[in-house]
Amino acid sequence: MRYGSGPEVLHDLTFHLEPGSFHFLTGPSGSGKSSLLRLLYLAHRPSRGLINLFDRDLALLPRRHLPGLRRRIGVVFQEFRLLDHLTAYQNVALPLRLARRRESEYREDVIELLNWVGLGDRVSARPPVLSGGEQQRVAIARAVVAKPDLLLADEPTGSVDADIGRRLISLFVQLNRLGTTVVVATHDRGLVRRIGAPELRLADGTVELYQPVVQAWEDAANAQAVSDFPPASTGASPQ
Amino acid sequence: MSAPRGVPILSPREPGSRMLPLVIAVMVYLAALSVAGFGAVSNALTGWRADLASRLTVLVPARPQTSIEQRIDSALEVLKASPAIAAARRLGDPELKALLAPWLGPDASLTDLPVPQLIAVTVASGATVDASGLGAALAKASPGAILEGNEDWVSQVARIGTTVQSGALAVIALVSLAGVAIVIFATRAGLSVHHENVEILHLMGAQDRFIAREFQKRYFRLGLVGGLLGLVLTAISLVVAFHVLRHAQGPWLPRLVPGQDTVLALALLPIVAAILAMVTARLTVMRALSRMM
Repeated sequence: MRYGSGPEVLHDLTFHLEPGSFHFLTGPSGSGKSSLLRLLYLAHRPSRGLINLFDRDLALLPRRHLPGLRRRIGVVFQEFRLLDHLTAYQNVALPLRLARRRESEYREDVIELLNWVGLGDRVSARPPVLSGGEQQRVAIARAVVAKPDLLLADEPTGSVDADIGRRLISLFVQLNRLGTTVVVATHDRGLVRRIGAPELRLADGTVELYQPVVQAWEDAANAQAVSDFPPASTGASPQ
Repeated sequence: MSAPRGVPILSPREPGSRMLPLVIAVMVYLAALSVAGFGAVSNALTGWRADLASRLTVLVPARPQTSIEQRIDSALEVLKASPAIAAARRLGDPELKALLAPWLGPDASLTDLPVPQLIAVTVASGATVDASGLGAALAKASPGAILEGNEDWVSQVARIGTTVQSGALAVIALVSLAGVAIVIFATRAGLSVHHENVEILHLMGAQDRFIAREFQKRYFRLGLVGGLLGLVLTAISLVVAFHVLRHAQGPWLPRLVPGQDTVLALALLPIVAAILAMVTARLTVMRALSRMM
C-alpha cells in the first residue's frame, strides 16, 4: 500500500485473521500500523495485492456493498474522531442509528455501556469538554456498541491510566469471547505480555507473527473474564 | 439528554448559512420580477391583440376646397354597406383632441389645423374584412380616404412582446444557473468544513445517500428561507410598481396586470428554489463521496 505516489508504506504482507481471534499489532512508530488498520477498516484500497474481508474479495466488491461491511467493523481511532456537536450518548449511539435501529431499543444498552466505561455521569457531555481519557472511552464505547464482527483499535489505551486501560482491554476480550475478531495496535509491551495474545509485528513495511511465550494474567479481575479466552493457536499464520 | 433522532448528524455550524439565503433571496427576486414581467406582458398581449384585431380605422384627410363632411358621409355609407362591418362611428372632436394631446397639448384648437377626421370601425365578430377591396371602394367613394388595419401594429407589438418575454426567460435561466453554481460552491465549502465528520460517518458505514440527505435537508431549508425572503421583496416591489403604473398608464397602453398563472408561478418560486438547492446539494455531495473508497 502507498499514499498517492509516495513510497510503499506496506508491502508483501500475507496474513490471515481467523474469525474470533485476538491479535496485537505492534511495531515501532511509523512502521505502518495505522496504515494497515486503514486497509482493514476500508478507508484505503491497497495499491496492489488482495484483501479478503468476511470472505469477500474487496477488489471485486462493488462500492455500494462497502457500507454494509463497514457496519460490521468497529474502529477505535487513535485520535478518537468523535463528533464534537453530539453528546457522549449520541456519539456512542451513532453506529446503531446508522444501522437504522430504533432509539427505544438501544437507549438502555448505550447508557449501560457508558456506565460500564465509567462515563455514567458524562452522558450528556460533548467531546470538547471531556478529558482525553474520557474521549477515548467514548470512542471505545462507540466502536463496540453494535457488537461488530471485527474490532480494530489503534492505541486504545494511550490516554487512560493503567486501571481503566485494563478495564477497556477486558471489554475487548469479552467482546472477543462473544465471537468478535479483535486487532489492537499498541506499543505497550506490558499490555501485550499481560493478555498473551498472538502478535503481528510490523517492521520495514512487512509483518511477522509471534506467538506468545507466556500467558500471564496479572489482573485478577480480568482472569475471570478471560479465563476461557481462546488460546493463541487460533491466531494468524503467515504464509 | 436529547434524543439522537432528529439531532443533525452534521454540526449546525456552516459557512454561508446566513449568506446563502440572502443570495438566494436576491436570485429569487430577480427571477420573480422576470416571471411577473413575462406574465404581465403575455396577459396584456392577449387582450390587446384581440382588441386590435377587431378594430379598423378610416382616415379621411382634410383637403382644401372640398367638404370633408360629405366625404365622411360617403365613407360611412360604404362601410355600412359592407356585411363584415358591425359598426362605424365618426370620432368626435373631444376624442380627436385627446388623441392629439400628446403632440399638440391639451388646449390646441382643432379648427386652426387641417386635422384629418377618423372613423372607428368595428369588425363583426367572426367576420374577415377584405382590406384591399374595402380600401378601394372607400377611396372611390371618398377621395383620399385611407383604410388602416391594425395588423402591422399587432405584429409589431407582438414582436416587442416576444422579445420582452425571451429576455425574461433568459434572465430566469441565468439566475437559476447562477443559483446552482452558488449552491455548488456553498455545498463544497460545507463538505470541507464537515470533512472530518463526513469521513467518520462514511467509515462507520453510513451510506452516501444518508450523508447526502443531511446536506439536502439543510440546503432545502436555506433555499426555502431565501426563496420566501425573495418573494416578500418581490411582493413589495410589485405593489409599488402597480401603484405607480396605474397612474402613469395612458389610454393606449395595455394594462400590465399579472394574471392568475403569474401569481401561482410566483408563489411556487421559493419551492422551486428550495428544490433546486436541494438537488444541487445532493448531486454535489454524492459526487464528492463517490471519490472516497
